Amino acid sequence: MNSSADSPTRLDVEMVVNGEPVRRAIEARTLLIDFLRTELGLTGTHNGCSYGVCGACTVLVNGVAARSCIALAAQLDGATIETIESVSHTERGQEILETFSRCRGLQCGFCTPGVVMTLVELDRRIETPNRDEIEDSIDGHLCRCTGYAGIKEAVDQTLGRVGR
Amino acid sequence: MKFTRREDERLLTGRGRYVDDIDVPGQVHIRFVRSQVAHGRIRKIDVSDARALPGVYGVWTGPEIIDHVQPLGPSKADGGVFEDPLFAVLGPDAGFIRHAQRPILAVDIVRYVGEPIVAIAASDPYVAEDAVSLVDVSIDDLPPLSDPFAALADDAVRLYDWPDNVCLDLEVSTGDVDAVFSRAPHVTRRQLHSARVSCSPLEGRGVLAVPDVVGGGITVYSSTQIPHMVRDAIAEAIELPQRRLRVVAPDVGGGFGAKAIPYPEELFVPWVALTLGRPVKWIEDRYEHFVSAIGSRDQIHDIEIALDHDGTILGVRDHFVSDVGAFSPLGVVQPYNTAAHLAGCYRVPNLKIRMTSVVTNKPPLSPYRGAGRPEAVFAMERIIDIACREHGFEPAEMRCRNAITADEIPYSVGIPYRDGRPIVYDSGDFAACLEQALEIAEIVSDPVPDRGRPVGFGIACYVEGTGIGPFESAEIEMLEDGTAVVATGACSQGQSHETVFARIAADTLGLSEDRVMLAGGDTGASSFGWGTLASRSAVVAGSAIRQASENIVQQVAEELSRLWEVSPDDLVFADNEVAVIGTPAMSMSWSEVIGLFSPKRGRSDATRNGLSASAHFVPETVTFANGAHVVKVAVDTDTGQVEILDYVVVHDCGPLLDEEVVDGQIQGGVAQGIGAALFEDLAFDVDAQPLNPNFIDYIIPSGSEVPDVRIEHFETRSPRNPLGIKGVGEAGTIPVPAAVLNAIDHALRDRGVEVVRTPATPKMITTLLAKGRPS
Ligand code: FES
Ligand code: FES
Repeated sequence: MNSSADSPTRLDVEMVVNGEPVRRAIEARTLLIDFLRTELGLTGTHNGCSYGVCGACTVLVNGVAARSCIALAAQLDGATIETIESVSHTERGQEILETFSRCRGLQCGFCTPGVVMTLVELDRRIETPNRDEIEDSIDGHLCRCTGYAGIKEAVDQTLGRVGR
Repeated sequence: MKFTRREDERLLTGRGRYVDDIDVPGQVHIRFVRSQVAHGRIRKIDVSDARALPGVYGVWTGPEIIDHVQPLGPSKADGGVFEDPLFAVLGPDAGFIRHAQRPILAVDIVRYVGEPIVAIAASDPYVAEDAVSLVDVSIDDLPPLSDPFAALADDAVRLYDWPDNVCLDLEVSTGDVDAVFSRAPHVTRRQLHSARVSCSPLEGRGVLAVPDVVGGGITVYSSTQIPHMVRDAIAEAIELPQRRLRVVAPDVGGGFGAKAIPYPEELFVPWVALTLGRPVKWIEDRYEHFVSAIGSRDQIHDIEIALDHDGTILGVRDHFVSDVGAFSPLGVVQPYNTAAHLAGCYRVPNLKIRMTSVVTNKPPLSPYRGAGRPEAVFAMERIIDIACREHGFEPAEMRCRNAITADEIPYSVGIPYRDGRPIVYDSGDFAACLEQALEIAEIVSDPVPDRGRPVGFGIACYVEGTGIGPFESAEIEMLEDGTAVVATGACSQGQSHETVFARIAADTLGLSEDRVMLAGGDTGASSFGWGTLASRSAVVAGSAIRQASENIVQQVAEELSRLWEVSPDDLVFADNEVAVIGTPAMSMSWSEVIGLFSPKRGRSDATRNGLSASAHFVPETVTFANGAHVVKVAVDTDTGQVEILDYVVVHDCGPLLDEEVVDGQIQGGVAQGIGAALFEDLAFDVDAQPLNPNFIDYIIPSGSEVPDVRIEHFETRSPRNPLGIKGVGEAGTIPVPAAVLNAIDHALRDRGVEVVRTPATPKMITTLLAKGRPS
């Protein structure tokens, strides 16, 4: 964020975001979501509530799905961040995006980046998928458009191993 | 990568462009100071500390801007246009409507918690928020109105300079209701309440106004369903010629009605941009959405139904009160929609409906997906079930007996629609549609318990007037590279317009879909437009696009038939070219065809100005979609928790333009209906303070609460548009609360429970079970 003229404390942070090292001096109060969107121009990460409930702002912090609206960027000095903009960089990521589209997992697309990041994490992490764990993860995302059927289908097809 | 919808590639790779994603160098950010009391007189506003804060570019109060930004009158969106014809048809004795002016920033009086009082522009949103906390507003409390019946009392404080707090009182009827009720064998009466809910699209509202670099105009990006109406409202409010104003709805993260009226913030932000000579952005936060975007539903019905000995409906009498909060921008739309859809799928020869809208100190009320129809269906389908139980009829059988069949179509209901035209159902077989749903759901009257929990079935049917006017426009321009640009006033908030509308044009022109570009929601691309609301876009914009495409085809056919000396009927438009049937040598690619119309060709008729067409589809009146929902639930009698075991929808929206898009609209609509049925209740205390303006206490359904809906289509063509289609955007939502609550009552049939208000929360159910009698 820009500083106001009485310039509050600025802190240096370094992160690796979508594979690129970045370094910025930021206000201590800058939230991760604003750092990504405003400082780095990565606007694919969305703000649906700003208090950790809706999941639209989900990104991966050191490989783990996290809500960027309730994290301070300055606390994540040294972290590796992945956002929706990076998903198409890998073949597996592309498959996930295509599956989401094919299953009609999105309508307006506003909740979508967050859901996709959770799915990317599950896909990497889960060896033997457990129905409850998957459901809990997806329940952490609010979608007002789709009624979730397409999202669940995309999750199941991606993880490919669970009967519904 | 391969994507199903055209919008998917950018939306899935983080390259969507919602308002807040657009940044313009030099932009400043607006935050509002909003009222924390529901009703009061502003004594003093001290903004000196906020003004002095570094990074603040401007601070404004209501009195300072009242001469520059006009208050919002009644919205022209639907309300203004159809109100006059409706009142003309109903006659002077039917009732009255009153409109309040809605200030941009409060002047003297505040009328709801959340009303904007002061606006601040600052270098970034954090600084703007700092400045908000430095503003000191003193307000003397006035008695708050938190209940519509209290607001109707003779000694209630008046919210406006009116003799009472009523802003709409209207009656509509057919037949002789009172006579029928005096001699009917069976009469059942209840009070039934559809709670206030919030639209809650995942993206809130937002506006970015950018002064043009040259020309003195302004471009406004707004997260809206109605860019053309927003343009007109801004032009009027700040007295800017329409020509200097372009309004664009970029990617929009859901609307559902919350973005279907112009808002004070939307008019104010462009004025600040022109005043400061800078781009200005305002992004609504979630709290603001709950307290300052519109709420909806909030109707209490006193409804009675009269039945004959065999369960035939003799008549329905209803008086309902709508709590419209401090403002009702669309006035007659929501209540009258309720009235127009109350009889629904059934023969109701005698019908009398009185609607009373009352102002209170809650946030404004306006239609949300379904727009008065879910409230109507809730009242009608609940009273049917309650009457059936009271008088010993089987709800499924009774409905089939009363539902209108194909051979009665066209069927005249006997009252006007809200466009003033008589309601005549134009297509469908409501009884057959219902029977199909009952069969798929395998409904039984005495279902076996599920793991110890009692199980019940609930039914609800609906008709829906869709594709309302007054018009929608389409403009098509053929470019010299053989592609088509289609512009329409209807814009998308997730309804897949780019995909579906492009296909309509592509099919007619014989172009491959990738050669058709859609420009929706940009007043710079099409100067006329109405917007995406009221399940209308596929019908009216789709029809306009079809007409404009046909016009292009006709122009080309005339030209080529002359050139090639063949009959226009022998031309085929396919595979990106135009050819003569059976004569492969006679064919021309689209880019060559377009060349024929180009002024560059230097042909003798130099008036040629390229190849383009525009069309305005003006529907005579609405076309009626219909459908039936059957839901199966299990109720945990210890916790009061309701689980939906099965959900069946049979829907008739005519021929399907894209089955998966239609199914997606229904599935998503049902999810919102489940929210209203079981969880969503925008609650206020006696001081009209909001009790749950956040996603923690106001619960919208998540994945595990929504089943995969089993959807079947029943297709009858509409005679009222060239595509034969009927709208579908709202349908999924409409009957859900009625069906779910009917199912809960059925599950608890042996326990004397009757749920008369949405949402049926666990607490409500356990309380009713403890009482063991009707609430
Ligand atoms: S924006 Fe972070 S959870 Fe909603
Ligand atoms: S697709 Fe719109 S909120 Fe999920």
